[in-house]
Amino acid sequence: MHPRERRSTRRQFLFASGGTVAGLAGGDALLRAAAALGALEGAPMGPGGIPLARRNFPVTLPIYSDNEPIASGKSPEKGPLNVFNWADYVNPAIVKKFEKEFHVQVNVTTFENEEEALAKLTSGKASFDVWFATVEYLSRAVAGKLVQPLNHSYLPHLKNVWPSLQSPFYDVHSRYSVPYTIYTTGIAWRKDKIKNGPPTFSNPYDIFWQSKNYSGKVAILDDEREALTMALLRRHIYDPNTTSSKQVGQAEKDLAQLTKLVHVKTNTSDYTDVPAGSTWLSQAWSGDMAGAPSYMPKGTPVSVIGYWRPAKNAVVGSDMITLLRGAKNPVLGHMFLNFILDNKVGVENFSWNGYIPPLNVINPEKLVAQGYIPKNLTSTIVRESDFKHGLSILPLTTQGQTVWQDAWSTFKAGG
Amino acid sequence: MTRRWFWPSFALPGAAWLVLLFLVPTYAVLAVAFGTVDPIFNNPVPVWNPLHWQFATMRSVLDDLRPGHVFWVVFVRTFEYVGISLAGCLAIGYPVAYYLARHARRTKALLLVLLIIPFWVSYLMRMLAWIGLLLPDGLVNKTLMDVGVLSHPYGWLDGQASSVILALIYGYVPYLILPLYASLDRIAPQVLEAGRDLGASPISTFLHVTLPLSRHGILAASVLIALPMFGDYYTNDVISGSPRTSMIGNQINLFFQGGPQRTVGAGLVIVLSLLLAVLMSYYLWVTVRASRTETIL
Amino acid sequence: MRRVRDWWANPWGQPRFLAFVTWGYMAWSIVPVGIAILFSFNDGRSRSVWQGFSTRWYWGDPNLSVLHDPSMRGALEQSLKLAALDMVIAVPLGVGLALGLTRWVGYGARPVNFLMLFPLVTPEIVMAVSLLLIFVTLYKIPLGTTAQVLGQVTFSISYVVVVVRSRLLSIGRQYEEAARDLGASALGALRLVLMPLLTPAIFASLMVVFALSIDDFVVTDYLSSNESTQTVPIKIYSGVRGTTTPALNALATVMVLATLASVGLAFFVYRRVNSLQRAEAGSGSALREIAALEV
Repeated sequence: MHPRERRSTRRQFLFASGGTVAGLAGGDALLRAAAALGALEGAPMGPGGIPLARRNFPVTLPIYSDNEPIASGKSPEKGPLNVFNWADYVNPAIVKKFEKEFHVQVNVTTFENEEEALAKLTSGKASFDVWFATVEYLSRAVAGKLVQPLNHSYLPHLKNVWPSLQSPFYDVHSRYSVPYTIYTTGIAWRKDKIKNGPPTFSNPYDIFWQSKNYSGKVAILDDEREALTMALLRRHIYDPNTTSSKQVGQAEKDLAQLTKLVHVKTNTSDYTDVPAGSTWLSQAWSGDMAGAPSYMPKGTPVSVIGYWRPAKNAVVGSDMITLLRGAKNPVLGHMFLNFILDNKVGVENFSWNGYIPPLNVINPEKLVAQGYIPKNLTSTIVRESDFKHGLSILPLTTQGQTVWQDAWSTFKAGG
Repeated sequence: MTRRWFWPSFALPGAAWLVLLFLVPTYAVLAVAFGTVDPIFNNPVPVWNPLHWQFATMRSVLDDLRPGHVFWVVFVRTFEYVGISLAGCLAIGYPVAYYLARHARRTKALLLVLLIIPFWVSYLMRMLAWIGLLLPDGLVNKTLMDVGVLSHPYGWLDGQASSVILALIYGYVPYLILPLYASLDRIAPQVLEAGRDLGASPISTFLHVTLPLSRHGILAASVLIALPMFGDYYTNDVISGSPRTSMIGNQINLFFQGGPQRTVGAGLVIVLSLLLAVLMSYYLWVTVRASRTETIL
Repeated sequence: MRRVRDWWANPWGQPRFLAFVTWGYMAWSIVPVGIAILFSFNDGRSRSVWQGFSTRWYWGDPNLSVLHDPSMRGALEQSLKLAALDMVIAVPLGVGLALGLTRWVGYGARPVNFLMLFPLVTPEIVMAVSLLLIFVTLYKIPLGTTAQVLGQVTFSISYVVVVVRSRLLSIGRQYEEAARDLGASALGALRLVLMPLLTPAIFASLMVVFALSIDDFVVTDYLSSNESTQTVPIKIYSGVRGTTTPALNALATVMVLATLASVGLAFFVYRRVNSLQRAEAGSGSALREIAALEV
């Protein structure tokens, strides 16, 4: 099952426990310093005074005096280790391996989307050690003191990670997170149904607006940010975090055109629809198409699937693993993070969930040679250069979120 | 005087429950729509004291309700769908209810059982049934292609308004037929006989006697299904994947899935409730009047 | 020829057109569900193309069948759990409310009556949103099974009241008054005379609440927390547009059978008790009563 699936079918509230909100108003020197820094640089300010990270404005997340990393050199706890993760996002075989190696039990609890996850985490009732987070929610989690800073002495495997992700712009020095998977957003299509795929267009995104012949077989992601961003990219606006209502409004109008032209569908089931042939052209995540071989119906070769994303300015997403502040097994948790970053483990995990870990050992040619990825889908592999030259969908201010949500609501109204 | 409090005390637990879990939550919707939003986690912060209510949200909601704007479009479309579906339900349901009430003497029991069955089949399962039939390789397409009406499979589930309306009709018509049948059943056959005795033709009897007598039943049953239909969003979600057929329930749903505008969602709920208040009060008036005359309702 | 014409013109004869429409409607209404149930026995993964008969989706398939897939089984269990809790809480509350409202003479009765009727006419999304908001902001009740039960009971009570009240009205006060005349206390008359008479209605209301709970989608979904609190309708909603297997059909079929079984059971009990109380005139057949009970 796809981790991003059903992102839109839940409505969850976050329990802003009195403590977290009050704590933010309190006077933490580091906090105020960060706020001042952000104000000087002109970066958008996020909750708790932590500036919202942008590629050209990297953020060093603050370490609060009442939330410091654990001491070095401690021995691991007895467990059980409680892991909080997206559904079907970590290979159960890997979890078993960890259990064997460290002689502990691991409990994996799953969630369907971040809001649901945060609701559980802030309710005060949950007791997890490890949490798989996303960029969008990291700064909030830090501001709300949900996650604890990491002690890198327990994380020797961090050097296996791409250099540019060992100290990413959203978490300089990897204070709170280690990267887990990396993926791009591109266009998937059926080569046997569509003669002229995206690469044949001078502006590949245009294929959607010229797909009248495939009416009813075209889909975009049911994701506010991803869908509107594609419209922005088509117009060569390479800022998926713009808060200009003019730009976002134009993007919405472009998408509305698609509704009229081709009866565009919005869903996140591209990973089954494209192999099944009920959708011929879809916006898709790289991991979706990497997993296509297991969804192909009998008799249809996987070579009919095509996936394209731009070499530069592709939307690159990354998920990360964090350690929760109330973790009962912080040392064990560190070891779990370290374990995931092991080269062998990373590849084994990828072979199961189809999402690339940003490890140096990942060699696209080898992946194809070893049969992990079919030859026609090498574009689903994400390389470090993709990340370096890519765009990230990042958290916005409340006003920014409102602009985007209003545009999405207008699009969904189908006027 | 233990007597006076005897009966009301039985009603107390139930009434208390409804106050706490129905009345107060209704006020919470108002408090949220006129409240603010906590910027860290996008939680709504309700404002309980009406004197401190913030009107910015409702102003923007009303702003988008103007003709041509977002919410207007969706509301109009919702009204259209509900109207057409209601007409369809009545066109199908009235003859059936009428037949059951006035005729079908021998097969009445069987027909009633058959009528009641879909009532107890989950709404979503009935949608599941239709989706199975409407899939590109489903029975509907197969049959139409075999018969020659279609040359290639039609995308019934690709954002077609007709599919959504048909699904609404299919889904809601059982809820219309039963109360309609119950009220038609109550019309004394002697009245109709009198009409015939006085020389009216069958059609005339129907038009001038039966139909007017069943007027209240029709209206009550129509309101009974129109109200939930207005808030329906899941039918559209499962039958059509397209924004072209979205209803107001879908918009409300959108704002509650995330983001900083749950207040707008609450505001839309208020607008919807006000629009339906007319229908609701009519139904309540009819019900109370009927229950006071001790008729089975 | 004359006989045919007379038969055609007979005003008391069966109208063929209406009969045709009615039977046609029955088929249109039930056949799709029948086909969906049929496909739950499909041998392949398709929900629309028949590939042979098999029970794999019920218990055969070791990963995806309803029995073996933990999320499917969990949905079934959650649906039944919520229904049981809903019945146990809503019916007593509703019966009490019905008793109180029918017999109450005083100022309070009117507003309570209105209050009781409101959930019947409120669209589910309005109720779901209001419950969600109150649980999160004021009552601080975490979403999940507790919240779902609270929500389901809230809209079930009114249905119980409607069912029980109509029965109360048709029973009338005669039996209680006779008992009081013979020396019973108010409580005694209630316990020994009225409640037994109400049993069929209580049973009917249990069955109504069960079916309402099993079928409920919006309130249950809005108040759910994670996968473990998903019910069968939620599972169907999230899976029906994708390429899920006929296990979904199987899950839905199990639900339908459970509901129909409970309805059938309640109906027979109702009929049994009713036939033992044939004294009242004008109640018609039990079937008609049940049909008429649905508001």
